[in-house]
Amino acid sequence: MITPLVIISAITVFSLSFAAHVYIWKVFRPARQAVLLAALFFAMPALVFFALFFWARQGAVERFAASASNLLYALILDYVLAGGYLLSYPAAQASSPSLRVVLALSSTPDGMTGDQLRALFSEKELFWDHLARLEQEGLVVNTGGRWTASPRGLRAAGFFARYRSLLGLPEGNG
Amino acid sequence: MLPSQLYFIAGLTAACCAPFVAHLILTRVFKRYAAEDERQSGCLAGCAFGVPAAVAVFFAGRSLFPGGDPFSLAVYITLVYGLAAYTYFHFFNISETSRRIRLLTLLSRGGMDGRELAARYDPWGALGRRLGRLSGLGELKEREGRFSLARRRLLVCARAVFILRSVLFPLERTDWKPLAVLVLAAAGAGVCNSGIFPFPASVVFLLSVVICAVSLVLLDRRDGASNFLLAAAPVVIVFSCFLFSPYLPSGDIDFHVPMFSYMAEHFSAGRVCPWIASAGGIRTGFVHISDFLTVPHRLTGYFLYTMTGMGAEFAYRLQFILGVLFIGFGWWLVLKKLTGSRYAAFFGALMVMLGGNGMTFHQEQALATQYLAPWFVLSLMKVRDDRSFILPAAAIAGLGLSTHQPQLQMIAMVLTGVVFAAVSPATVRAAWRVRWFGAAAVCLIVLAALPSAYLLHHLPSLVSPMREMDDLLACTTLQQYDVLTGQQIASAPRRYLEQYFMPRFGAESGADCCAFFVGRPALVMAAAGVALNFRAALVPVFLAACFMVLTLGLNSPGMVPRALFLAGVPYINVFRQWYHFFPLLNFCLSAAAAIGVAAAAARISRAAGGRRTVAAGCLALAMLLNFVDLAHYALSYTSVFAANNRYVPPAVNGPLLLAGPDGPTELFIYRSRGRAPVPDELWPVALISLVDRAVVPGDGGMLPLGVEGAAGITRSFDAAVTAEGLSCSVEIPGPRLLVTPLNYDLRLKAFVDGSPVPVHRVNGFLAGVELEKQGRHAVKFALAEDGYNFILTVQYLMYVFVAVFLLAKYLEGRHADGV
Repeated sequence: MITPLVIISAITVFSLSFAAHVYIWKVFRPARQAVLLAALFFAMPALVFFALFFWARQGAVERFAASASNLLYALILDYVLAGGYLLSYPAAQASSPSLRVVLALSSTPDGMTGDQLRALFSEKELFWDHLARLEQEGLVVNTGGRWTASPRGLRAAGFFARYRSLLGLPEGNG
Repeated sequence: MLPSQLYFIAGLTAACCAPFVAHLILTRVFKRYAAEDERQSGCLAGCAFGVPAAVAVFFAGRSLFPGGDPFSLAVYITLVYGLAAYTYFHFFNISETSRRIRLLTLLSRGGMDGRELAARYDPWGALGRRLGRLSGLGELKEREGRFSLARRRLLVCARAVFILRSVLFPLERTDWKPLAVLVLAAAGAGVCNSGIFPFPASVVFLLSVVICAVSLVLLDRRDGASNFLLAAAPVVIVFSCFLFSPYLPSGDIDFHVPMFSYMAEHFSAGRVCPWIASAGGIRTGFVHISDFLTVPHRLTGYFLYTMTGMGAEFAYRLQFILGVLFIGFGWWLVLKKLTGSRYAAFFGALMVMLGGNGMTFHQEQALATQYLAPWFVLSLMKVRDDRSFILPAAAIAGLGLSTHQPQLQMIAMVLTGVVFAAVSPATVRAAWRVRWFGAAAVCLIVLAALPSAYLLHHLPSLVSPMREMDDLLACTTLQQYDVLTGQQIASAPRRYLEQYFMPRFGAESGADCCAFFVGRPALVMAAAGVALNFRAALVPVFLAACFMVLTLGLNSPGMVPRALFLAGVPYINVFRQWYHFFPLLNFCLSAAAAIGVAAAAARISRAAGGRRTVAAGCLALAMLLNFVDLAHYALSYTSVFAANNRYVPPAVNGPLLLAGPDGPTELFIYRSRGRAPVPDELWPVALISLVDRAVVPGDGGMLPLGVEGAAGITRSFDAAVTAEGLSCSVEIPGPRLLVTPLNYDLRLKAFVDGSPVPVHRVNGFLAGVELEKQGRHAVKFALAEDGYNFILTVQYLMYVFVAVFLLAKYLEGRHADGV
């Protein structure tokens, strides 16, 4: 049965993951973020709920956390919260140009020309930084100035290509 | 797992997949959604087409869980479906617009050098395509070659994302050492108190002093929130002695722990218990103020109890400690803002957490008296920079009026507000210049203070077995007031103030007396604050003097209680614990001492050479000495209540329904029950009495319910006291009146075999129903909704509002710093 506690516990565990994420990012700024994010937002909540389940079952009194279904409902909500956050995260990490354009236009009531908007960016930001981040994540490799996709990168590119073809759409153009 | 639960999860999963399926169909069937400018619109349409699937899951959930809460189910499904749709939209958007996916796709066709890749990727062309997409979505408009915002929907997202960016990727990295010190301190505290090694209290004491010294050294120059972790670290070690102690102060054993345990068990079952089943039952809302059921640390305690296997008593201790840390954090923020010195904030926060405010564990009620104070002061201080802080200040003021000892909170907040206004009148004028702030502030105060309105509404039907409340409420003349207050008011004797200088423990120095302590070196620093920065110290010293006089109550020069009574302060005639102003006095002393530390630190930083080293060493030593004094005091105090027996949880249900006032019901019982002219022998002795119609007397007559062997009366204990009320199953030979010990004034609904029946008042205060037909009947009594759940929801929302407001402002400030 869905009670307010399901929602509260899901939000609490998501907040714990988020707090750990913020702290680790502020202290260490890990290079390979995808694995750590998955661990923090998917593996850690599952472990927390698993541990709570066994701890709560030891008590003499019937607790909310002693019910597997309660925790499963909470875990589902936690995972969709995590999914929503993680899909928004790249915009914060890579400083989305679209959002920067919107912010810049919000402070100029008269608007800006295309050239003025282009002046907000550099080729380094728009291209080279992304390439460097892909290399950090192990998705591309640079051998002697020549860039190639790593096996992981090839799998990622193939996954999105198949998804787009399933929808009947051409590949995205960035 | 039950099949119904599996069906629900399967349905929910299917609904979450609906946006993808609908999007797939839309892009395949309607070619317009495959066009570049319409692709995102197609995805959004797919998400919208999935909504009926979510609605279907809601109705399926209603039939699968018939007794469930429909509101929670609706919120849950809305959240899950909404977030799943949001996630899918972003997933699609990434496949469409991600620069990194585009680069990977290009490189998956074969390797190339950077220049060739840049030429193929065309970063400037990608920027142009983004402008086109934003225009296509209607976010931008282009006129005469100039782009401008067409609507501000995306602007909110942009601000949120850039705030997140400033939090995750600050200009300077955070130091990991404060958290490490706190974790080490917690681990050390656990080991010292685990029982595996027989560590004496002196080891805990020495460890806490070492951690305090390390914390002092590690205080971060950038003055981030991690400095509070350093202040909390030594406190955690000292607190562990209380956390793992088998003893509790007497007020906690017999009053607060049973109530906490009772509420936590109901919280664990996912409900707010509407009543306390003793003395015939009273509504939970009547003890909302006096038992502070919704203060944040209590809610945290209920939650920890619910989610883990820890015992109620351990959860109670833990929530107390969390409450002290919560107050300490608020006060640390105040001192940081007041002094701008990390040393001063560290010093003052320790005074509050380990001094009389925190470590005396003064029957928890003192914690409820002070938990709002730091946040109220912080909001007032911020109003000077940002007028919108008048809103959290108003919400906190309203919460204060509906928490423990609202008269005390009202006096303290008005006094503090007046002093702030006197010090900075321009701020007040500026705050009220925006007119809607005033209206919004009044609304927030009223909404947050609803529990007080609820209690005042019901007050005429209540009496208090603890005190002559009726007489106090009725007293109108000073003479009456003096006579009554002389008997019932608790004020601090002047010797309590000696505790600041010469602490004593023992029978004559109870929790109230021991609360008057902040460390003796701190008093020297407070004096230094006055000497070195008189202007800054004037406000805390003035307020300290006011709170000291209020603390003394009837013993104060000029009899402050009488003056306030004559001034017509609402409900001051029923206020009795004047010494509970002590936390506010301690806060003021802490502020004065922090100003002293800040002034000393500023002078030291201006000094040069050897003098500077010696002076800095002296200041650090004074800070450490104060911690030593505080820790020693706290550990000595903890050993004082070790003389009490271990807590044994009493039952608050069942037989207590038959008993007189006890525990939480000492505060309020129904007037009809407390004052009914019923001889003791006529009180009911069973949960169910079945009375033959023949012995029911006329109007005003009494049934001899309590008389053993009374003719025509059958008694039974075969009934269950439930969270909702009482239920039983009875077999009757003919028409009978079923009488229960439940108070009629509880406003009960009764059901016989599922059908509603009227409830009768029996013997002036009991509740009964008539059973007409011979045979077996299922009878159920349940409390009718009286608006308390709505009030509780509003209170929770007020806490959320204050927390979200303060957090949002903090993040906004960080973002501004980052920019």
